Amino acid sequence: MAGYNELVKNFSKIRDYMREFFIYGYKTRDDYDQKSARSYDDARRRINSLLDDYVTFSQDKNGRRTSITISTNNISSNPFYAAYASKSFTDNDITLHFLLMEILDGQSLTADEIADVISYKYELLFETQTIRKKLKEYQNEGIFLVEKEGHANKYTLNKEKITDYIPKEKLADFLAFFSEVAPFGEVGNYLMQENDLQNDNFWFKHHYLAKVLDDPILIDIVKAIEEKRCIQFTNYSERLEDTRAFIAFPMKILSSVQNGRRFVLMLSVDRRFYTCFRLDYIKEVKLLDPFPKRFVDDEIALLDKKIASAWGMSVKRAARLDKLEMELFVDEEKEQYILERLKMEGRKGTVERLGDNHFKYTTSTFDAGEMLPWIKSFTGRVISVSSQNPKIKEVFETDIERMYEMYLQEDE
Amino acid sequence: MEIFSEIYGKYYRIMSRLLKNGTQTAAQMHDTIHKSGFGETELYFEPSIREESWPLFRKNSSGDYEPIVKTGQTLPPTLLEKAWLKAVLEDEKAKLFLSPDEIVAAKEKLSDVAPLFNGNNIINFDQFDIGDDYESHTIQRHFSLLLEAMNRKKAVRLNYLSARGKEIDGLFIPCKFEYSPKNDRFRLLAVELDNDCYKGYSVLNLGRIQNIELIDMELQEDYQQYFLSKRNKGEKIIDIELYDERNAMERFMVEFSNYQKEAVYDKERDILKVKLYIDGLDATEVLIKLLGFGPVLKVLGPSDFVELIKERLRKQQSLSQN
Repeated sequence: MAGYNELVKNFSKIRDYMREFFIYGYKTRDDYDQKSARSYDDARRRINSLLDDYVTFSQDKNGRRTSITISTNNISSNPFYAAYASKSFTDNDITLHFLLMEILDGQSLTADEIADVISYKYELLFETQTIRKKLKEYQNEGIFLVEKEGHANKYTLNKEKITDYIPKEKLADFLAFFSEVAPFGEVGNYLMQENDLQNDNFWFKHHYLAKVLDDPILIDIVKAIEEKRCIQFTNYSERLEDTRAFIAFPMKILSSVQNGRRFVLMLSVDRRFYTCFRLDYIKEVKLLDPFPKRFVDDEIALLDKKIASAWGMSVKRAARLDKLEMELFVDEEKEQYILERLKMEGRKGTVERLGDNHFKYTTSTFDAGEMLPWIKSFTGRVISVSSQNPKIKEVFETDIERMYEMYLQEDE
Repeated sequence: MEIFSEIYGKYYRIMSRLLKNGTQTAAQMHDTIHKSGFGETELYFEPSIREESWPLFRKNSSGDYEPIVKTGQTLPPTLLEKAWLKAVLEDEKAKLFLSPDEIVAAKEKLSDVAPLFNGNNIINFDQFDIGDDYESHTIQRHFSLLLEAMNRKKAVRLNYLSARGKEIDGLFIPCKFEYSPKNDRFRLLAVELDNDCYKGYSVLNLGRIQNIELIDMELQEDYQQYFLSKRNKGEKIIDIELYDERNAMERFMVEFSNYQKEAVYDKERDILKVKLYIDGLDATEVLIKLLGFGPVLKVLGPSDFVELIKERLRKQQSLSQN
């Protein structure tokens, strides 16, 4: 057991494995060759400890597998929040936490005075320096308030309650909802845990749980966006199986509510192109200097304009837009819902009636290739697809031909 | 402001609870830790108290544990939590929970706190354009009445206009709200009543509710069980094989990560076999998603589901031939 603890110092230690076990539950122990066997076994044990009810182990001829299986429709709270409750600490940390919370409840004291109280009242010894460090840390978190008395800082416990902000009778529902739906929902979950609240009234559909594992990375990126600063980051490319470092100016987070992926849209530092990086592949982020002030406002305005024409990740600075037209057969009497679909899913595209049961959907975007999965979802109704990029029509037709072979040939 | 910090951790919460419990036996302490901890928490927690590495308890003459700290103080809302709250109050859905005055008051109290994030910088680019109108007073009032009914365990009389224009007037027990970020809509999951009897499980769009009236009637205690039994009925298992093409395995596993599934990789054939567990009510939605993947996956079963795919392909074939 030496060396192992169910708590962790660095979130990255559980982030990668939790995501892997959840998304790629089919991988065996041998597939994790880039990490040491020891690290795999520790992670497996730790995750089993944190997410007991959701972890399954299995073995077949390929090897041992660990997977996290969650049916998201009926859960009241994201199980991955357990990861956020697993930070390790020192003996001094936990002892001082509870001593200081009690000592500073209702009185203001300096670090020296606190050291004296700890010594005579609790019969424990702490160096003033250690106490001072903890006081400063908790002052930064907003737990203690500080006031100057001469040269000394006097600290007292902040007596605010969450119900000073949100009425008590509404708090549980408010937090239950936003801790699952809002960005950084784990913070809402902290408030729920702290106030012994639970979610009785909400379930969630299309709920992508694993994205919360990226929040310690995301928090730095949203800070950089807000402060208009460049970042240096390392990115792991699954395709190239390679980790590389980049410097860029992050501008927006693009989040898919249909497939659970989140991207950071960044501008190259020479302002020549945009690139989107998968948030779950970004490993480390360091905030750098502000982006040159003289360019910032223009760049933000340009991106806002460009992004309005994007279908997905593809946003280009200079390229012309691809026009895409899709003609569809829709039974007007019985299939109004298809027209509804075009309207609600078509992201600003237009729908035109060409004749009886014959409609045309038109849009213009940077890369019509991104639309192919959506176009194929209308299989059974597509009369034609055309685009300035001939590849779109070709891929659609080839894919459909292959599907005929896969599904219909066996019936012939 | 640390987002991953021990002050929000499980161990601190357990310690706070133990301190609040006052003097306790080792067995009582063990029980609390066992019930509230992670799988192995007791292995680390109990020795740390016993050996006084965390000297917050002392053993008294009867061998019981006596806390040296009496309060186990609850944390005040931290700056991180306040910053999150400030950002969330900007979400238009906050209006469903709080009155305009309550929102203004909370924002005023948080005036010296910078929001944790700016919602305008996080774009849900593929959200459907059919969301509920959260500015609507009717939606706000209906939402609030339904939450009240859930919290007070009351029935409601609902007047509802279905998507096909059919008007429904009936008694319901509201059980849950189901929110979908994809649709940006709320649905009410409820048990329909016929006098005192359960008539069925209903899914109603919040935006289609015309009128609500809270009804003062005694509810039987078993309605939650009835609701859950109906909700969990109709599960379908879809058998799929995925091919190593266009990053299909990764795309599929991420996109369907919100469904329960079992996946096994067949090394010899280089395919991924997946059993996908879906709610029968979601069958069409899943079918559409699977069609979007094209030929990089094949649905093997169940036969009625495969038949739906074939039917669409036959229609497509005949359209292409004309």
